[in-house]
Amino acid sequence: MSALPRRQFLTLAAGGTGAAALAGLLAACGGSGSGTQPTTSGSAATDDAAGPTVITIGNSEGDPANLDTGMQNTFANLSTVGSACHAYLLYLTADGALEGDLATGYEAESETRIRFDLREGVTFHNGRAMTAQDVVDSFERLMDPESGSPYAALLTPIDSIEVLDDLTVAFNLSQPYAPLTALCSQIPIIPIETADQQATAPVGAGPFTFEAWEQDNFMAFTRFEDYYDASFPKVDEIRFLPRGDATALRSGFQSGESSAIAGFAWPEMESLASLEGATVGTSYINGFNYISFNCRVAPFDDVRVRKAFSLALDRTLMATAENGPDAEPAHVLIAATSPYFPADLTAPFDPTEARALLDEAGIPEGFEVEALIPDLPLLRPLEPVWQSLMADVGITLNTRLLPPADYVARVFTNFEFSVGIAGDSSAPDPALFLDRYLMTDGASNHMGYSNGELDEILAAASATFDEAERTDLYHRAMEIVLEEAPIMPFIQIPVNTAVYPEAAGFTVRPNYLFEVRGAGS
Amino acid sequence: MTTAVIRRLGVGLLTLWVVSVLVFLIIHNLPGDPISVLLRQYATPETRAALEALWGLDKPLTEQYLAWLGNLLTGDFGVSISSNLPVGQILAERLPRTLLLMTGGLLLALLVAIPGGMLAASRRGSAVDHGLTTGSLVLQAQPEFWIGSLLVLTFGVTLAWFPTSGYVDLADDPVGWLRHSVMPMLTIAVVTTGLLLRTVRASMLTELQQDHILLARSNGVRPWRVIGWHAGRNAVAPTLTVVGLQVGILMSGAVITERVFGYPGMGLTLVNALISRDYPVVQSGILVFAALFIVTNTVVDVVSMWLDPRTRATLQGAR
Repeated sequence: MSALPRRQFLTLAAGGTGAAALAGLLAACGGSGSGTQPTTSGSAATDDAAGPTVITIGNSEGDPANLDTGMQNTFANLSTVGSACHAYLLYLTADGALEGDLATGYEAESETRIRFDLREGVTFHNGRAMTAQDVVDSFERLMDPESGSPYAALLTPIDSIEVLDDLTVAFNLSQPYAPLTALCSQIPIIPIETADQQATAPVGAGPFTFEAWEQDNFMAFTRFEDYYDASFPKVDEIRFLPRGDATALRSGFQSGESSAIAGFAWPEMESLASLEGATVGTSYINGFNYISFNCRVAPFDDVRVRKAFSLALDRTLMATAENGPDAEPAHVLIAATSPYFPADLTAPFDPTEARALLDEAGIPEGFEVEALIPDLPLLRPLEPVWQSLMADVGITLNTRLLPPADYVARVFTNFEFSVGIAGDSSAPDPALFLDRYLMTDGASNHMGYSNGELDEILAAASATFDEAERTDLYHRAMEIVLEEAPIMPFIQIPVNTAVYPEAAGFTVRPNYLFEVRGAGS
Repeated sequence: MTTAVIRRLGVGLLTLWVVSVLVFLIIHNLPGDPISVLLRQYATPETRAALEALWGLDKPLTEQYLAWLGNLLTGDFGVSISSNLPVGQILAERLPRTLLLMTGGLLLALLVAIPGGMLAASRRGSAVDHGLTTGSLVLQAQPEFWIGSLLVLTFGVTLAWFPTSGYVDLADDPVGWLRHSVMPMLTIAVVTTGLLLRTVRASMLTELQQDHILLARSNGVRPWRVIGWHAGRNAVAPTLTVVGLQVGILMSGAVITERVFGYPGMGLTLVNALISRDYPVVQSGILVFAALFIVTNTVVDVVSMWLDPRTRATLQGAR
């Protein structure tokens, strides 16, 4: 048997040592915890007194494929470009209130005409002053169904938009449409001459100017010096790091590369909170995770079976499984921050009554059914909890995790399902969610649910600006939904955030836009 | 040998065509479509019809396939449905990053596997041999995401030697590029080293028992020359074949590694394109990966023939 001489061994060992030394040298070259791009100035913190202040946000939503938030209103888009680059007629605050943004105010001149007074001295990032015509152009760009914009369906009640003068614009509606004001917090106002470049180099009137985007790596914005409110933004530069992988998201924060992160699972909260200076919290957006039934097929065409499901569902347990022991359950499809929230309505948890209802429906021995769940990190933990709750009343759930695209196709396009869990959000007006889901011809009514009385109530609620009347109408609507149970929310969609002091003020608003203009110490 | 190479290239082209048909059929028959992903719960029949017409999805599948293939033959990979960017531009930007990652990982693996395998074979049955073979088995059993996460926690978070994720372009900042690439490359190297080391060891053991090795030894040739040159040269050929086959595994490994490290290469692009059902990107991306696999293995075969006179002789005899 031959052997390598000792000398060769030493040569190999020297090679290994050299490699280790090279690694050390590389580490030393970059310094500890440097940023992820060549121009990032440090660990997501303020630099020395003379340098620019930079914050970096790690985003679990990943990177958008297209930066035009009017054409693709995904969370990835809204939370980055939508938050930093754009301004809107109205501004949705973190606690759900609508305030003036590019408009200083609005008034319903009649049930079908709303006038907006625009702010004076607003400039777009391309240097041009904003006028009322820009509002017209920005909305008309998205109103045409052939534009492919997801907003097209929501803007159909707009008949025309009229320029009254340079700083006044009026929306003429084909029917009264109260949710328009909420939508105005999400439709970006752009200089129309930049429409073609919005997908790759967006231009708006927001607090930050688009600087660079390297897809799946980073997106950078710099302070817009001519932003209409001189007290914002608080920092010179903001960067978004797409971190769809949970490990990458968490480790980026732990190492200091990210000043703030959003969208991690609740079991991480304790360890992230223990990092020096870090604060963690949960924001709830204007959307729900819910269970819905295909009311076209047996046994869910029987309201007693749906009701039994509802009674067997411990919403507190489901909410806890999704976002930890502090999570609040949802019982109705109206956000708790909404002025129309019916606080007195709750869905009871009563397995005994559930079994009695199944008995009454002629299936006392229970039944077996396939249940679909989109394969998303937040929803995965729900699978065993839901199965166990239903098993208690004799229902065997054969759960199936599907890629989200498959789920949308099966449930929302082809209606090939019996029961499933999903989530959805909207701009913060109940009509934008409820009309889509619960009206007989609603675009998202995948349940095949139809109730003439509910249609009338929802139509009436959309058609009035009277808050008291709307509150009453939505209360009645939610009573019907609780009684007939075509869809059962169990939690408002939570977004967990962790923030270092240099990004203090960062939070997630109810329309999934990040609060970035006030972020930064 | 030229005939053999031409024959291999012909088979490669045929394979590529079959791959193009399969990928096209599979992606178009997956549940979900780009419009459902884009519009989600906001889809109306009018908007859906408008987008189908815009992207040609309203045409029969055969027509869509022929149009795509026709464009491919003229070098036009189409336009991404999600981003509106030319697919050719996306491939040109992302593919080199993934190739660099794979090449770096493979070179690191070979740097360890070749001397390690030779050492293990030369000391067969010793503690060194047992240590190396057991170690390589352990490495081979580790999934990329696990190794990647360990490296991130150790060298990114705890020691803060390297950035935990992200990417810097090689042309902009070579040192920065290397700092961002070291851990992804190491991840690929760790999971690849095990198999390569065991392959080198097995090939060396076979070679060390050959008559010409005994002859070399009896002639007093130095042990390191016997191992490194006489046996090592012939042991490289089977290793190269395994390296060629490993390219496919490296590609799938790159997909996971890129996600863990937020490394914007072709793997991450393909995953995102698949999720959003971006047909042109998925089709062209997989086709390019398939082409790479075929070209690499053809090159490996040719080099193996050149390295091993026995193969060369067989081919010449067959001709």
